[in-house]
Amino acid sequence: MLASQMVNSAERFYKLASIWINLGATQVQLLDEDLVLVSIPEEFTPSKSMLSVQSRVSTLALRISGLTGDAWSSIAESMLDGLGSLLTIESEMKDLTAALVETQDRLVAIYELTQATRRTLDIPALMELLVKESKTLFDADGGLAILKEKGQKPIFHQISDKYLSQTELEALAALFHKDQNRFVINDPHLLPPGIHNLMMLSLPVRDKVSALFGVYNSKTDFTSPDIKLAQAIAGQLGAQFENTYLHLESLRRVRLEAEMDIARQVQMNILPQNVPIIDGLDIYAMSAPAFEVGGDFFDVIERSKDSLVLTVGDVTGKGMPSALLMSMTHTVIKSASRMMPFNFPHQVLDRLNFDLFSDFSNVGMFATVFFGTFDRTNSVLSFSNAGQSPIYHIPNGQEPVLLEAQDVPVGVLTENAFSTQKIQFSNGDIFVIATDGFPEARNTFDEMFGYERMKNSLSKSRNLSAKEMVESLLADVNSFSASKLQEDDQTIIVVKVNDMDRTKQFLIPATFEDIRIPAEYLRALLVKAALDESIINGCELAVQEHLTNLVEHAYVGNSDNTITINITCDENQVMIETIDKGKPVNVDLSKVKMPNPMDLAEGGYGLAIIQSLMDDVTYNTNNGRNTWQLIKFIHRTP
Amino acid sequence: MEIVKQENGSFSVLKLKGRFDAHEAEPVNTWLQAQVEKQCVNIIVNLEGVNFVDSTALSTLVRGYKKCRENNGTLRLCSLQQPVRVIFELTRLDKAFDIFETEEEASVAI
Repeated sequence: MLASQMVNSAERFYKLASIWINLGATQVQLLDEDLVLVSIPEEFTPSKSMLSVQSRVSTLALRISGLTGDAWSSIAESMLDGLGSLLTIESEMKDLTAALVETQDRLVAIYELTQATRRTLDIPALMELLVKESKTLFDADGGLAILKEKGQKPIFHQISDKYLSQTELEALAALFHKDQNRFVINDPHLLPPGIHNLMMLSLPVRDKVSALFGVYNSKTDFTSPDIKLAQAIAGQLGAQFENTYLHLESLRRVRLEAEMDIARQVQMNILPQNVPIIDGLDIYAMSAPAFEVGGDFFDVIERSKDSLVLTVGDVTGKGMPSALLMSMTHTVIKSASRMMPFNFPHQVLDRLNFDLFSDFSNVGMFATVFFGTFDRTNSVLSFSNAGQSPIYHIPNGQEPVLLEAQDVPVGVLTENAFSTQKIQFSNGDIFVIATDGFPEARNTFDEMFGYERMKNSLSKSRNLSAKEMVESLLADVNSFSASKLQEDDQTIIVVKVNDMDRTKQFLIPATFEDIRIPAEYLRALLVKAALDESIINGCELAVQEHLTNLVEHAYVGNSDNTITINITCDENQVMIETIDKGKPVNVDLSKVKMPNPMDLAEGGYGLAIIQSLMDDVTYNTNNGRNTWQLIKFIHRTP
Repeated sequence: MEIVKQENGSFSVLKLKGRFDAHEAEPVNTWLQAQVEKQCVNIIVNLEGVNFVDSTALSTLVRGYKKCRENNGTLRLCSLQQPVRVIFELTRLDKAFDIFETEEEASVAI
């Protein structure tokens, strides 16, 4: 060690030696463990007197010929110690510098490797980069990487003159797993033939993936700095592998989401987008899947002028499997009811059960189905109910009655066991067909909304339109379950039976053009009822004026809003009721006066016209809903 | 609604047909304002073909009438159907407008 250092420091020694020569020495020699490093002069000159001093801090020794005595010996000893210390420090500094340069080189190499891998989001390409770069970095002839995802075949990558067989690689991987994290083997006897040293580390990737990389056949044995460097690489690359997996996963998820989105669209398109508008019936239907796709379905089909088909069903389970069976069920019912070679609803369910029994039982699922036909000529609803619940009949002016299902669900029994029931409807009756997503909605205390709350909600909203009844129910269920997510699909059809000829409901956008529809309808209705021309004209004008006011003032021309209009005409009166959600009106109806004609006022006629034409005008506002009632009494002359 | 514009002597004539309500008021208003700007301030609105007017229509006519008068002109109405006349009577605007039986009468009256 010091000897080699001395070669570089010879110059320094010459200076020291010349001092001794000047003091009378004939020759000065520096030795390291009896080996003469420097001798000045080179040729040995024998001398009687000689000082021989061994350093106390190093292996160096000094021989000085021609001088003798303790004094000289002591000086020589100090000088030798000084020289020894200097050489030791110089040697250490050189080692340190070399180590620093090497560390720097390696840091740069890791940086470059990280940069190269950062642009790669592909597992095989990452493996290739890792093997190539680490092989160069460790100056090894071979590099390898093994990647195994749980449940999949391992992937190997090697760059070498001496390829390891798959069996050998697997044997190494198995050996590695006994000694977690890392190992270095510098003994060729422990390695496959042709391999004389090997370093192998694991990459810290997720649990389900085991990744190893290694380098082998390096010129020099692997040392602990090599292991440190390899660990740094493993850390960096492990993170990059992890990123790549996350990237691939998010790609997969995006693809799956896109597919689910399409599935949901397909499903939404299967279900009717809007229900038929039928005179005398106020129908509203909706379905809200709890997940992307649901198992609930419904249909409202106008089969002929006088016959309406109502279907609500719920396939057990959630998500994709029930959505698929739901589509099949829906299609079978739809085609069976369209072609309808059957006279009774239960025959449609028999057919459904016959067609789909094996499909259902193969996957251990079933479906609850309500299937009914409403005959408009006599207001009779014929229906078959295979386990569907809840179904409510709300007779005019009475409390809702829960109708229990009389048959087992479809897909449970092989034999056909469905039956048909009939209900005679009267004016004002309401029929509600829903799925269990409503009563079984839960709150944070795990309580269910329940049939009683559902019944009360329907009872409370019975005088509203079918759509508003559903909105009110949804509001009640949502406020009950509060922040809890919807767990099950919610599907509902509400049918309100109105007097076929004398009652009509409109839901129109708030525009000047659309308000003509109810105004003109009212005229036609009153003409049909053979009322006086003056009453007909007056009512039409009053409705026109009133709706114009709503468009202009309540909604301030914002046509995104809607107005619900109920027109009723019976023996005694014509009643026009409107419901809007616009700005509430602050007006004292008793103080409305027709403007003075001579003032040539450009407005202010509307409400005055309405009041002079109608017998009773009332207004109230509640919870953002404004309700107006315009009534004209009819005094028929006998 | 149909809108026909004609000249009749010193009068610009607007012939309307159908339902004259809030939905149709804007084109009539635009026409009336344009006439006034052109200094054609003697106008006859012939309502022969109109079977329905509402208060927005009345307001439109009142606005036109005022503009014409401000410019020393006039706006006359003629040929009102019975239901339309009833609405003028209801609002008593029949007292404010000059209303004639025929367009001929409206155009020759002084």
